Amino acid sequence: MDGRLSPLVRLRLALGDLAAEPLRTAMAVLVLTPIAASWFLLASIAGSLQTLGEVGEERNIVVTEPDVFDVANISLDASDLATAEAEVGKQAESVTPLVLRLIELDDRVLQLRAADTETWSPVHGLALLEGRLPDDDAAEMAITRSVQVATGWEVGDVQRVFGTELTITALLEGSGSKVASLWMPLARAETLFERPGEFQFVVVRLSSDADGSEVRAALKDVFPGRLVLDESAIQAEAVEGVRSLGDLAEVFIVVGVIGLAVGSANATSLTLAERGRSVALLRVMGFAPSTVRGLLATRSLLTTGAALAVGLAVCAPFIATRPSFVLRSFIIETTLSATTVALGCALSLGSAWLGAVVASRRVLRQPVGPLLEAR
Amino acid sequence: MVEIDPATTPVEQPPVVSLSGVVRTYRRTGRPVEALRGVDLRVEPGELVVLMGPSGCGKTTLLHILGGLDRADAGEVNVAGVDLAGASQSELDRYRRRHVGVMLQNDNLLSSATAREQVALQLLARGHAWKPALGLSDGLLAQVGLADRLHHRPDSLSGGEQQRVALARALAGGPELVLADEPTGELDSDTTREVLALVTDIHRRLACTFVIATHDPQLAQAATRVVRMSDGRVIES
Repeated sequence: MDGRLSPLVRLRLALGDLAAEPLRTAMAVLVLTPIAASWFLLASIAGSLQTLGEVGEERNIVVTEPDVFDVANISLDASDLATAEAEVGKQAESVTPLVLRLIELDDRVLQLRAADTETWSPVHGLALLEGRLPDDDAAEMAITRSVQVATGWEVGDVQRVFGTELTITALLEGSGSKVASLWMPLARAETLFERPGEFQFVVVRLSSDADGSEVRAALKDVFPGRLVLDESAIQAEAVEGVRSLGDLAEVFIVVGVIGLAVGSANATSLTLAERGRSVALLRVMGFAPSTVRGLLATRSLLTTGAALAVGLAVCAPFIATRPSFVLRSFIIETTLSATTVALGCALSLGSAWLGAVVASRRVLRQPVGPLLEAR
Repeated sequence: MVEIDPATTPVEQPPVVSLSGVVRTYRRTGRPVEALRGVDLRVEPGELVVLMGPSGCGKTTLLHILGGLDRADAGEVNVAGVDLAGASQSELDRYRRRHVGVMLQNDNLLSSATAREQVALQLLARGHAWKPALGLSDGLLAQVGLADRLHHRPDSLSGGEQQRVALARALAGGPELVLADEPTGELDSDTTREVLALVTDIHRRLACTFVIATHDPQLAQAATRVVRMSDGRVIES
């Protein structure tokens, strides 16, 4: 005869209590639902943000012109290639040109890059995911997966670029700053832009034993007034920028759990304020503080559980219809695994229980008589 | 609940309530208020004792101490063989579960529970399982004339019906002592008569000891003994 209630009876009593006042219960659930939904949405992208664009093994140094508003104004030519080749000598595996343009298609600004297809994999780190590389002589181009995600274009589609209809023949995986680009053979770009022999970047692919900083310093000497950049450093900086969003998302995930705990504690406090008489009556009947606390915690768990269910139901269609999106040319995949959901529910319910316990602590410490009089 | 059988009822039984020199002082807005100033009281098994006296004379405080809802600052408090003066909080919880049923003046019921759940909860506290508790609850509610109101919540019960539910709950599990604080305080005269008739009938039929605080002279007439209080003291017993 210890007055303890089995979990089933606790559940039955808490459900009955919540069902007795459906409007109040619905409000309590609705207050917690946005926090739960936000948590699931953030959790669905946090993993992707953290594992974004691993910086590859690229050991490229690029030479270009500074302070331009439009990359199309940059004009490098064969003499620049020759200068670079002469300077770096055996420290480079290759010295190749790269054409870069910014184009606007369907209200999106995309990069168009052109280089010899033989350099796509070894120099630019591109991997063929689908289709075949474009022919130099055909009106063809390739797109990266980010472009596909952003535009919905598929291999075989035809798109009009700078007045020319180009067939997409390949889907590529690119890394770093190159992830959202259209790619075409250098010869096709020269035809398209009608500026043969002109390009915007000299790309120096370092040999494995070369000292990058030494090569960069040498190139700066022979290209005074031009920009000489370490491509990996640029890429790393871009990745870091997006990853910091991932860190921020994780902070918000923690804040979300705390928010659920505070929300649950607040809901329990409100319950105690409005239903303090009921708590006092349970104590009059002889239920121990721990038993009453268990009832309040069960009630809080049910409310939070309902909020989690509604929150998941609200954000699941969004996640299902937007499996990925592009952020600063990085693909963010929205995935909500069973593990993430289980972890989120466990954390949220744990915090709800804690919130209820903390909120009810002071009231349940009071002797019953004063508790009755106070209510 | 046990029907009284005079043939088997022992002639000498220890008192259900034995108070000696009970003092209780509150602090209200920083000033001490002496609610009880040395109360001595003895209640024998089966008595229906009515506490009477003006408001603020200490009736409710005395009931709270008898019910293990509050503690005396000094004096001896022994109820149903339990020393309440020296009891810990958990011992007081256990005392309330095992030995006493309490009926308050108003707001006696849990707002979200039906009549049968109110009584079943008291039985749960006293160690019954849920389903048997519901069955016993139905029987108790039938005894107080509420067989057709089992599934009603307090907001759909009249004041008199609510007090009947509270009485059934106080009686649930057969406590040795039933305490009632102004049980008819907020009822109209007809309903008061009904509740009084019910209390006296139950007292007559069941071997249960009642201590009731009231201003109602009708209830005093039905009592086996009237204890008058004034200014925190028992002035007539």
